[in-house]
Formats: sequence, C-alpha cells, structure tokens
Amino acid sequence: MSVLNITPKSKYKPETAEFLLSSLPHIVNNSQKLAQEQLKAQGLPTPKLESWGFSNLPAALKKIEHTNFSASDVAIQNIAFSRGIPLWVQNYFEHTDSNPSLHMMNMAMLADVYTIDIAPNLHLDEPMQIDWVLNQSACAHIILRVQKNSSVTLLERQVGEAGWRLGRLIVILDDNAHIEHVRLMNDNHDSCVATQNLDITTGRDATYHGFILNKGSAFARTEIHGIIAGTNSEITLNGLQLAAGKQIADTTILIEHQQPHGRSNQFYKTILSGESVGIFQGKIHVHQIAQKTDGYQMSNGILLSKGAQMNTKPQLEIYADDVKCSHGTTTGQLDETPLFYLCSRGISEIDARRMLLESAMGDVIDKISNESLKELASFEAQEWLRNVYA
Amino acid sequence: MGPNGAGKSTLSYVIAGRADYEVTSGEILLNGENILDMDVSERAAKGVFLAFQYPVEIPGVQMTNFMKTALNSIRKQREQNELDALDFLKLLKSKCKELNISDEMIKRPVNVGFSGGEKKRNEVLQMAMLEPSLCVLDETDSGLDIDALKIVADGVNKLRAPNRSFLVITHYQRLLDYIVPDVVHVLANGKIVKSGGPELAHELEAKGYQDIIGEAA
Repeated sequence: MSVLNITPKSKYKPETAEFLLSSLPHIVNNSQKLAQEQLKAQGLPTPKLESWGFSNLPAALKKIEHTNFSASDVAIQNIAFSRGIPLWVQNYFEHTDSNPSLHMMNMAMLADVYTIDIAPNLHLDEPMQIDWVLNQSACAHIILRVQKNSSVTLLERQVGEAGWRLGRLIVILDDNAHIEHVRLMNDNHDSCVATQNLDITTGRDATYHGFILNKGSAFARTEIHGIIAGTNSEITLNGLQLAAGKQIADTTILIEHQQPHGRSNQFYKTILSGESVGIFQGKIHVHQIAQKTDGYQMSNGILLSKGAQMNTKPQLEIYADDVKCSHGTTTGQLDETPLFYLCSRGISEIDARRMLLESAMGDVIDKISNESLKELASFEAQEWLRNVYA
Repeated sequence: MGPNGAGKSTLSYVIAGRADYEVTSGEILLNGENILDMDVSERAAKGVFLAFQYPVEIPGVQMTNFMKTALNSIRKQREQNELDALDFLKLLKSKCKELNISDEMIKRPVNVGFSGGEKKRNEVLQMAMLEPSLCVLDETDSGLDIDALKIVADGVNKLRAPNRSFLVITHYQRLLDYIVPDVVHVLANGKIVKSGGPELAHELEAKGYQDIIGEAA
C-alpha cells in the first residue's frame, strides 16, 4: 500500500487578508482571483445572510488560532492519483457565486488540488482511504471521478489538532458508476473550525450512497450540493451530527433534480448535549424536466440538555408536476415511554438513555452497507456517547 | 377489577414509579420497605415487575442485549454474580422453551414487529427471567385472542409461587377463568369499593360495575 504525504501551499493570510500568488492553471487562476477580490470586498459570510442565519463563522474563527494558514498533511492511501488539474475537471473551477459563500472561500483560499480518477469497469473491493491530518489552517480540494460502470468505496477520516480546515470534495459519477462514501469528522473540539463543500454529480443510472459522522470541531459546517444530472440516478445522504459543550454542527444540503426518474434521500440525526447548537438546512429542488422524481428528507434532533439548541430548515422547491417528494423534521428529548420501559426492567436511567441513543444512532449507521466501515462508524459514535455520559 | 377510568393503570404506574405521577401522601410498602423514594430501576431490583398493557417497541435495541443488561443490572443490585454471555443465553433459552417462545423472536429488536400475543408472551418471558416478588399485570388480556390468552395465562400460572405476589388488572372475568385469583378487589374512582373471593368476578360479569359500585356506595 502506498502512502502519500502532501503539503498544500499557503494562499491566504487572514490577519492581512492577503492572498499569495497562485501556480494553478490559468482557468483556476482567473476564478481564484475573482473569488479573492469578491471575498476581500464583501468579507466572510455572516448570519445576516439567509443560508448562514444559524452559524456565525467569523465569531467561531475568532476563538481559534488560525493565523498561520499554511500547511497540512493529506495522506492518500492506495489511490492512483495525480496532483494538479486535468482538463476534464476545469469546469468545476468556474467561479459563479456572487454572495459570500463557502464555495467562494474555498476558491479564494484554494492551495492544492488532488485528482483521483477511477478507470471504467473497475470494481474496487477494498475501500480507498483518505486521511486528512490538520495541524494548521489549510485548504485543499479533491476531485474524484468514477468512470462508467465502476464502483468504489471511499473512507475519509479527518483528525485535526488545530486550525481552520477548508476543503472541497467533488464526486463525479459517470453513467452507471457507484460509490459508497463514508466520512468521519473528528477534529479537535476546541481548536478547529471546519468548513467544507461536498459536490456530487450523478450520471445516468449512477448512485451515490453517503454517510457523514460529524463529531468534531468547535464549528463544523458541511455544505452538500448534489446534482441528479443523469436519468434514473440516486443520491443518498445519511448523517449523524453529535455535538457537546459549545460545539456548533451545521449541515446544509441542496439537492437538484435536473433529470427525470431521479431519487434522493436525506436522513440526518443530530444529538446535542451541553450548550451545543445543531443546524440542519435541507432543500430539494426539482427542475421542470425532472418528472417521476422521488425525493425524501428527514431530520431528527435529540436534545439531551436544557442549553442545547436545534435549528432546522427543510425546503422543497418543485417545478415538475409528476413527482413524489416528502420531508419531515422532529426535535425533542428522548421519548419517556421507552425510557420508563427499560428502567422498569431494572436498567439504570443512564444505561437506558445510552441504549436508546445507541439505537437512534444505529438507525442511521445501519444504512452504511460496507460492514467494516459500519463497525468503524459505530465505534466512533459509541465513543462519543461514552464521553457524554462519562 | 374496575370500570374505565377507575385508576387501575394509574395504580400500576405509581407502583412501578413512573415519573409522570406524583404521590402526594401515603406509602407503598414492599416486604416492609417503603419503595416511594426509590427510582424505577431500584424498585425493579427490589422485586417490582410491571407487565405493560401496551409493551413498548424499541427499534434498534436487540432483545438479548436488553434482557442481559436488565438481568445483570438487577443481579448486581441484588448483590448476585452477573451472568456471562454463555450462562445468560442458556438461561434465556430454557425460559423460552418453557414458555413456547421461538428463538427467532428473541433475535429481534424489543417488541418490534411482534404480534399482540407475542408482545404479551414477551412480557411473561421477562418476568420469568427477572424473578420478581411482585408482578403487576396491567390488562394483560387486552388485544389477545382466546388461544393467546391461554398461552399467556399458562406462563403466568407457571410462575405462581408462595414468595411471589400477583396483582392482575382486568376488566373482564374471562382472564380469571385461566388465572384464578385468591382475592378480587373492585376499584372505582381511585378507591377499593369492594373485595371478595373469585365469585365476586362472576357477580360483576353478571350484573355490571354500576350495580356493584352502587351497592358499595
């Protein structure tokens, strides 16, 4: 197994708001310049912007050390990869946002790009693994393309000690390509801020099956933009947000159905203790052409303490007339009736709570189909639970 | 026994210690000990067992894991040795056999996908495993057909023992054909208005509650 350590270059000094010169290809350079100018003029997104209404990024950044925005190590294991930006991905670097956004920040501060290209007709049984180790602020993009008729499993582990993690993962699925993607976020709870884009495009008959466990960072925002770009393709986004203390955990999703017969599922649970804040914003946008779309969204928030807070914003925007779309959201404490049932059998209240939370987390974790990744996610989630009831 | 709204289920919850109820006065003595200050799991360890009218479905919590946690938690509180996985499974399987419960049922999450009869049999199984000294059966007959009722009643009868009391709550005399009571109490408006032998249940069946409660008043 080959292990590669890569050190992205510095692009941005927050203390002076200066950007360093880029050595990236021309098209990226132009986009980056534009994004940098806009970001300098408009500043970082603040809660005044609707999509950032619940998450105060500038305030979170003030609380951590992130002035040395320079280097990180990304170890990419067992992957045929190339550094740089081949022609086929250059479109993904067109900069179009005009309001301050995560995409704008990610473009402005982009320091390094990695490309992973999976050849057609390949079935990789072993999961690919990307370990993101973060010791200082850094911004890297990974572009993963799975070509026709191939299927892969990707595990990402994020373990940062300090700094502001900016990142973007672009997943491009060609026709009949399939991926199971598991991301485990476990950056330091006090000294890390993580803001990341996950952009997914599916070709005809392709499936993206994702699971994200977010239990890290003082402030973690993941923006997912999924595009059903081919007929009869599917995007599934499952996630667990586990936050304690004063952590802020934000997942903001936009699914665009641009072709007919597409399916999208979002199933998120957010479990909050202490004075933590959870955010789930999810939108399903069905374009007029996307008839026979099947869209589903569910967000459940569980509050374990009085000081915890959950904010949910589900949205549907539908322009086609023959679709099935539903969404639901709940926020509450653990249900008292099962709790009473367990305790009435002699189980202590803490153990009963732990069992019920384990089962709530299991609902989502069980949707991971790779057994070893399921076990890993379950282990990470239980570790969080042990700390909460330590 | 008692009419709707008499307070039968409330009584069972108060004995088990459900937090939604506040006891404003009085005591509940179990073997001479007041259990009112104990929390729900402590009462269970002391020997209180409530068989639920509507056993709760708990998706994601496996029956065996639930039962093992419960049993060992109770054994610990009773200062008995905790059972290891092997001894626990042996015990569980032998109790299942006695109660005609299939292995398949204990492989599922707690009560999930169980029929009404299976849920009530599962309550009896838990009772057999935890060996309580006071069993409160809250309308165990509700939602059961005759065959299921017989199976559940058989299970309960097998557990009858000199050191184990049963408080069986029901609307109907039918259950008492299978679980023959020593004493019948009639509860109305939160009070016991009449007590008697098994014949009182037959009298209720014939006359209805209104007559009996009226007489008592």
